[in-house]
Amino acid sequence: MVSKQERLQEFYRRLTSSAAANDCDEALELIRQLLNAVEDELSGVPYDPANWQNDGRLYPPLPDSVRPVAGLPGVKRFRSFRHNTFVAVNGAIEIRTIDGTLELSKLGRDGRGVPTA
Amino acid sequence: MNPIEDLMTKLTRHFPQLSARVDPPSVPDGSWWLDLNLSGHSATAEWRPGRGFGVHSSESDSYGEGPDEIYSDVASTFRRLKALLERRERTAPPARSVLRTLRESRSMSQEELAEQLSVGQSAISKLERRADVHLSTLRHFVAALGGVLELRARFPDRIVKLVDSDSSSGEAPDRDTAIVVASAPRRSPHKGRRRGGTLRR
Repeated sequence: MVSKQERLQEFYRRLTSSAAANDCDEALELIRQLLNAVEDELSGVPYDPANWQNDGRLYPPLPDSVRPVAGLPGVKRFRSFRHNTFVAVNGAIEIRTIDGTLELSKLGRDGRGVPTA
Repeated sequence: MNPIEDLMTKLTRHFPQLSARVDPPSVPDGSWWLDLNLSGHSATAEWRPGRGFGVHSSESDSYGEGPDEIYSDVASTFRRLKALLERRERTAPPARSVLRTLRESRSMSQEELAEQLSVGQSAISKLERRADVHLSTLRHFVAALGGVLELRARFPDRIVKLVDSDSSSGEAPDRDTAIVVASAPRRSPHKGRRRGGTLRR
């Protein structure tokens, strides 16, 4: 089995090297597909989203974890335990820890990142 | 006041210096988050309406992890968070399933074990997450991995073997083991079960 940290790095590598998404929905779907693919290949833990508790597998943000971002109507925030995932209308993606540290930034279809206030 | 706001109120009353921030959902029935920090020691609670509270204060904070611990009500969540903050403790992921570790130690996938037991892979997945398992199910599980289940009760003056599903294996019984309480008829674990069936709890 591959460690959680190595799997996370592999997910970030695939996300960074994939083609830019066109909008918020595509960006979220890209995250979902790539993270699930990495975990299917490397975690050894079956996909079981109904199991809420930590089962050793990394799961993509849930659609119902969406929040608006004040002053940025074109950006959506998806909350998870220690992270916020931001997706923008241009398909850009940012993953930050809840204290704001940037872990990943991916540009959108227009070559720009997630807008900032 | 909803349950997570109630939880925050209780915690901030108990810890006047606590930094506490609620992150509300924007959709009905979405998760509420409560981020806590007491003198640099952080913890997070998630409240899912209808499902309860998740608590996470782990050193491991990988993207996409679920909560380490689940609680059903405000009182028990408060007690746990209070202890975590007071003692500056961390949560840990649930212990890795003994059955899963055992299966992996035999280099067998869930699919392969399911094939041996003539059940679906999901039945193995569920079994490995259960806290309590029938002895008969455990016996089949171990047998399918090529092992023999034994269960003993240890007393100050003797050891009683409760389960010995391999009494005809030719091995000499341990000294002072005399009672076989739950030895099932020997049979192949392949027999009598349909693919896609379920294993007893």
